[in-house]
Amino acid sequence: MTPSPLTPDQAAALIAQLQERIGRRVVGHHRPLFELTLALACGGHCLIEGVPGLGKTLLVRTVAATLGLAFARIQCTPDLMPGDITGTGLLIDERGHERFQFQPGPIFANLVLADEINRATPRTQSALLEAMQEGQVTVMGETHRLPSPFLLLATQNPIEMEGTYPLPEAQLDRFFFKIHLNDPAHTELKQVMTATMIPATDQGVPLDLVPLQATVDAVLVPDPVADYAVRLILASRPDGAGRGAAALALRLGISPRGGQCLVRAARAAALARGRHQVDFADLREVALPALRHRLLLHLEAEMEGLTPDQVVANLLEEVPP
Amino acid sequence: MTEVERFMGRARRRWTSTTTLRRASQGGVAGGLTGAAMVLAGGPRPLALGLVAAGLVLVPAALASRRPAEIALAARLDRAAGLGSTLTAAVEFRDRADPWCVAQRIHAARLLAGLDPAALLPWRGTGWLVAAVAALLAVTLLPPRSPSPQEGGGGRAEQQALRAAEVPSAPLPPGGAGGKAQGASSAPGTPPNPVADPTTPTPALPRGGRELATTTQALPRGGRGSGSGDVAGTTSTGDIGTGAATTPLLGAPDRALPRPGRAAILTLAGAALPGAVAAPPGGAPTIPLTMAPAPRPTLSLAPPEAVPLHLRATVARYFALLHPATEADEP
Repeated sequence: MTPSPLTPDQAAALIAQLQERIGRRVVGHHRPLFELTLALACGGHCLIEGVPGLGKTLLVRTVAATLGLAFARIQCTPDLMPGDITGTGLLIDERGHERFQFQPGPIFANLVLADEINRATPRTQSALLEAMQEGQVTVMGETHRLPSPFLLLATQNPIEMEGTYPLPEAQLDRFFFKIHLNDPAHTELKQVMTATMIPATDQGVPLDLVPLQATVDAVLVPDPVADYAVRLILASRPDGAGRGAAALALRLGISPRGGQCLVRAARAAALARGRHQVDFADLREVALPALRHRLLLHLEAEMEGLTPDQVVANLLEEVPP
Repeated sequence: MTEVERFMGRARRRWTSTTTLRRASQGGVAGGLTGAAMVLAGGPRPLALGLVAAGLVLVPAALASRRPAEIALAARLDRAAGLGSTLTAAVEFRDRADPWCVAQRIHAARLLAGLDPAALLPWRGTGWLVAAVAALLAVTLLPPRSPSPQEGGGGRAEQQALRAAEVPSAPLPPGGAGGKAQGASSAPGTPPNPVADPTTPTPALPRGGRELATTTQALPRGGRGSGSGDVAGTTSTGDIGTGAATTPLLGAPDRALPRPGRAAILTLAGAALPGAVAAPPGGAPTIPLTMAPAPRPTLSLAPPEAVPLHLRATVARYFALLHPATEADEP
């Protein structure tokens, strides 16, 4: 049964409530919190990047508690095997009759935290691909559906690169948002050090995310706004006809899936503002978290200190609404 | 009709009026410039004014079909009013009846209530309008260009008078005015001076005169003699006439044109050797090396038919003045 969509005002109120509840435990990080909320409203997976000690795991745990979702955590290490994530078939002996019984892995939860995902081997990382894209896993030729909603929140440390396996482009493209956690400011840091730790379970009545996710699809996307999104994507193609100067620093531009994510995130942003339709400003607001991990920079550009965030900013500057 | 549609209708009328006026101004400027150029070139002024009128009417008429789409106009109004994409969405999804779209239209109508299309689509054609008025004034007030003597009626009459007063002129003899004077001074039956006529070949000379006949080849050599004489070096000693010299000599004077070597020899021959003779080796009779006179100005003008019509009278007058002066110069 399809849940009835909310009105824009109801949706905006729900998003604000979600932010407020998470913000009770997670001090600061207002912008990352907003982006995470949008990703949750869109049902998108997030890659959260930040140095150790910023509260990445706390953030994910709090989200799970706020939404009342089943939570599972996978600590990624180089010796982690795909079966440790997806589950495996156990040989069961029942009175002389042997059979395999599927034992679900930690991925069978509503909200999965893949901590330090870049420490897992590429083989293990690729075990997440099917789960992220199709919401199912296949073990021993048997396909198992994942519970709904299914959200994967992965974290990675941008500093410690030794002994890590950078995520392949195919997997990066499946993350809806890449959220950067920055160091807290002075007042926030002071608040963090003096605040009493609230238990993660004490988050009140769980919020229902499903009506919000259904409402996102109802948001109108006018033709000029969709055209602007297309122009943004085409401007990022290094070999495309409509490429901009910013695309010269790129080896790989934004994929069509990236464009889909951009527009969907803009819909959620419009809802958060209580609007019925997507605006140009919504697209520009969500462009950074939606696009930064989909751009592959040239080596020369990286050596010059150019970052994907700067390229996205240049793209937004080059392509006016 | 909903509030959104009413607002769009007002905006459409505003856009049409401002754009038509601006395009008419642009057409007026184009027609005015063309008309002004025509007036300056001497064209008829009514036709120039007609060009202005045609520009005023035809340009808006030709561009009447170039109207922005409804969504494009709505997007423009959205930008001008700072509404994001509210009006655009209301216009684009006006045919959908689902509650979300209905709510969106109601929301848009609420925002549009206090807006005026005239403020959102301001008039931006003042410059074109001023230019069109200036072009129209230029076409009306510019004086036409005064016709040239060749073009005007008075010029033609003057031309005919000049042609009537034209002195008939015949082609001059080959010697020009000088030739006629020389011929007059010569006795009847006397052959004309071959030197004076550049077209007459130099008669063959005896031995020693080979060089005389080929003066043009001897000139650069400086007249090295086989006897005692070096012409250039012995002019003061007077030895030049004693040996068999291959003395350079001026041949046809028409070739003695300003070339440094020839001019020097002309001076030498005319000034230092007035009575010099070149004796051939075998004691042949000496040939006086009288230097040829300076060439007469050759008036080898083409027949008057080749002279432009308006200059013929002047040329004829010039010749009329020239003939007495030439005859007076002759000894």
